[in-house]
Amino acid sequence: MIIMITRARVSGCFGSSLVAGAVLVSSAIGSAVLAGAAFGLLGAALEPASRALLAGAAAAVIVVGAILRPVPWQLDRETDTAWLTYQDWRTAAYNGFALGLGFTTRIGFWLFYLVPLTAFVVADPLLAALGYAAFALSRVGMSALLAALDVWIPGGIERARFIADPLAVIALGALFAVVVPWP
Amino acid sequence: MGHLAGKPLFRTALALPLAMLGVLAWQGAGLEPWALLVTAALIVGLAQQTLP
Repeated sequence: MIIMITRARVSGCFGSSLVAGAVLVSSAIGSAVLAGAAFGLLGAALEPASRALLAGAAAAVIVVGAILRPVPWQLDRETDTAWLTYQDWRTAAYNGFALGLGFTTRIGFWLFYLVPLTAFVVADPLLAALGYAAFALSRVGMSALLAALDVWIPGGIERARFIADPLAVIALGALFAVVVPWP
Repeated sequence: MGHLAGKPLFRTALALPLAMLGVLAWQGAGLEPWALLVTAALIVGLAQQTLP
């Protein structure tokens, strides 16, 4: 079922899976650029002290969350399956847009929180947009590539968390070093 | 190991030194925040390929 949905995400677009994949990835990058720019703009709009306080508090809350539970706080859902019925460019475009934002569907890993939070800390809409676009490229670009190569990764999320969770905590510690003045 | 990794006590014991490692690594490396953003973005995007 999952394979069917994933296939449908990149099919049904001018009869070409290549075009559908391009629409999917472009749409994802577009939404990621918008989200990154918004977070960067929000960070830039605040005084450095306020930004540091908010980011430090958020990082602390996320670390506590990561300690208490392996599964992050998230919207536990996939993209809207009704989009599969369009059978045209909208299936790829809407899925790409949602997946590029990241937080409107299952995120799976605490490490995801670093993306919007660091985009906020960067406090530069352009740099934040480019950084968020890297997420979309990695998330959706790799999915499209794997689908094109007919490679499917069944499960493995527990093993991936075993690597991603420690990385998230290290990254949150690093973020603390960025926002909190150290002697 | 996966079962152990789900225990809050184990996660706490692991988290504190890791967070300190992050602080020290960042200070030592002297990198810019955008580098952290790009690194986290690329890694989590790859990890999410395992999402159900």
